[in-house]
Amino acid sequence: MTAIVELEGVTLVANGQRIVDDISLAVESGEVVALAGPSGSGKTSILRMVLGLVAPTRGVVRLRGKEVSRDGRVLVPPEERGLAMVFQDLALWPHLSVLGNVAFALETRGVPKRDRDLRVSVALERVGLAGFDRRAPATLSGGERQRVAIARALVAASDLMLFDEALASLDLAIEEELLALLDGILREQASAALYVSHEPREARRLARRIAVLERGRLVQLGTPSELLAQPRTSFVRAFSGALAGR
Amino acid sequence: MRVAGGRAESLSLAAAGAVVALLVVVPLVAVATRADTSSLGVLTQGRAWVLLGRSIVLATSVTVGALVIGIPCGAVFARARVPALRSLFALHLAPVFLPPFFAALGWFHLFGARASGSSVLFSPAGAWAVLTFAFAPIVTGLTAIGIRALDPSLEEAARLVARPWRVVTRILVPAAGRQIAIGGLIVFALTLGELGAPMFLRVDVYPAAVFARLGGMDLQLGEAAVLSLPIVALAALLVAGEARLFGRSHAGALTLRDRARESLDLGPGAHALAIAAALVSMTPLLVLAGHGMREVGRVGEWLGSSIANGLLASLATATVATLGGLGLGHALGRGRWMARIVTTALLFGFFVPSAVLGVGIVAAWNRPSTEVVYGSAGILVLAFLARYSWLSIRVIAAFVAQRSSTYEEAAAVAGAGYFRRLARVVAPMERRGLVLAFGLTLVFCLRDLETAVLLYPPGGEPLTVRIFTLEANGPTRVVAALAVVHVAVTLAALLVVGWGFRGSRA
Repeated sequence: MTAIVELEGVTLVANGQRIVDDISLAVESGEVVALAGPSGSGKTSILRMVLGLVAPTRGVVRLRGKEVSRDGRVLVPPEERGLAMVFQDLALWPHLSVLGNVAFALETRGVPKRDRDLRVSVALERVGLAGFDRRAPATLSGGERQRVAIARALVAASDLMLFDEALASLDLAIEEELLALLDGILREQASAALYVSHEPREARRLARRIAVLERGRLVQLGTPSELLAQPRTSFVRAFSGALAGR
Repeated sequence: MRVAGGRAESLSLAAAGAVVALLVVVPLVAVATRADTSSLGVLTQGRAWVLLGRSIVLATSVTVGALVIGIPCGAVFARARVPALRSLFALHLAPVFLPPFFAALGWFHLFGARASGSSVLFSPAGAWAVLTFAFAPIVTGLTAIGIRALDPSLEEAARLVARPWRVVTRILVPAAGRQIAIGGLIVFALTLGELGAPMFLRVDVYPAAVFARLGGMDLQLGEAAVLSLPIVALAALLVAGEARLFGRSHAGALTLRDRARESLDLGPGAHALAIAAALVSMTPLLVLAGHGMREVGRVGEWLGSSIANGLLASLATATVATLGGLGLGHALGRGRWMARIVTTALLFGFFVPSAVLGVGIVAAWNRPSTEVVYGSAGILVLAFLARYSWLSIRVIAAFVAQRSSTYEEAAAVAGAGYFRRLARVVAPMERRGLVLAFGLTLVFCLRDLETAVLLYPPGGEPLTVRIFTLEANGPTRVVAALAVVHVAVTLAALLVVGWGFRGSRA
């Protein structure tokens, strides 16, 4: 198997603080890895470095075997990395309709309108929003907005999807519904994914391996059962306990 | 942490920097190079330093007066429960959008005819009063912006334990400290550069001495350049003061959020203050209107093409400043260091008095190879851009800074490059900011006298210049009527901008 994304000795320093500290991590094609850890442990910063929104202070980020960031420099800008992302605050553009939001990535790639519309309607149907294409984001419920964000990531047809607390602040029933949707999509697409969450339930449902971060360091990486069997810190013990439903 | 901006953004900022250098830095360098040793004698005369001292004293005292009036007014207009508050606020703000010498004209028609009133009005004290009342609404407006942007929970926590006025003085006004400080700096800079009102009131000020060397029969560019040097140094101090006050939070300081909350019961005094503030602002304009109304039908023969001249130059400036300001304002709002440098240069253009900027522009552009620009309305547009683009950039930056960057990041992840993100995401989302930036720049260009009076091309004087020149020897009722026409044009521009602003609500 080849690594779709690889972080090698990545460190991120901001305002004199070490946000991410010497992390090495590889995600294989089609593999879902959850990034777990308490607030401020550097999970989102890792996603932002993979996206190219931030350059690592030290270390290398590789995508599909190619160096895209190295030692304080972004070598390939975000728009050329071919990634898809569901943001924590969803970042749906309020001035564009649902259709406009979902079609945006295809439009920038110059996909012809007919093909674009077809792919958007397939994506919207897949997330259960068929017929919503003319609606404005402001008129949607929280769960519907979440689905639009997922459709927008889905339509990009990327081999690596990133999720930053994508299901945070939803009620349990909707969260469960969307977890099933995401699980299905990731399996159908065979996309790799980096999934940031501090919810053990989401990690257990979606990820094959879990990377646990504390204070910017990768303290443990393994399958849920490996974490449960040999937890290296008290946080990992509590997290894997919750994974196992204890 | 370095957020990737991309090469396209860096190149655009570098290009913007080159344009700004052409607009502001080249004229200021030209001032320095024209300040030849043979003209240095003008600075050894005591008269120049007396005038400089008088201008600094006037600017300081007007700033103090504007703060004393503007801070309580700003608190009242931002938070008081007063009938017709918005209308009173709009009336109070009116002088900000008009040349201060209109107010001087209005006060003159009210008091100037009587000997006692005339002796007070035509004195440094009179100039102080006219300019204080004309510029105080700037502090009022910025104080209100600062107070309205405050997180309601901070105010609510104070209301649990303190009476309303105590909440105002201990929580709201200190929270608006930065906005108040920038209001004070703007008032100081505008007073320092003000030419029209002091000249009308026969009060000698330093910029008039510079102007006299350019506006007379023989051009004394060397002496004008030498006289400009101390005031350039003073403007540099103001720019440094602004940088020290705001540091890296250039954009956030003018946050334009308006958070909904219950208004405060500040007692009957608040109502009286709001009415008084509106009355003081409107009185000279109403007197002017009363004096000139009978002649409004006859102004056509005096107007010539002055309305079109002013409008065209102002519209062109506002358009370029808004389009260019989108990239610069966005970069400033996102904290890019290059944008901070470029905007600081433009701030210099705003803080340095127009007469001094005019000296630099004459020195840099009045040559055969640039005659095409210097002899046309293009020179006015360049000068207006140097002076007022800072406003549009700051407004756009304030809007951008309030918006989460994830919208742009999502567009970047979706494959959109820098220009596409600006055009498809930033511009439509910040269209209210763009409309406001356009409107503010337009109105400040329309109200400009000091820049235009030095640089207007032959036959191309805008209305403010026409009124100012006629004021010296034209019929007073016609001058008043022309001022009424100017007010009407400005009001029409503000209404159109206001309509666009409301229509562009996201």
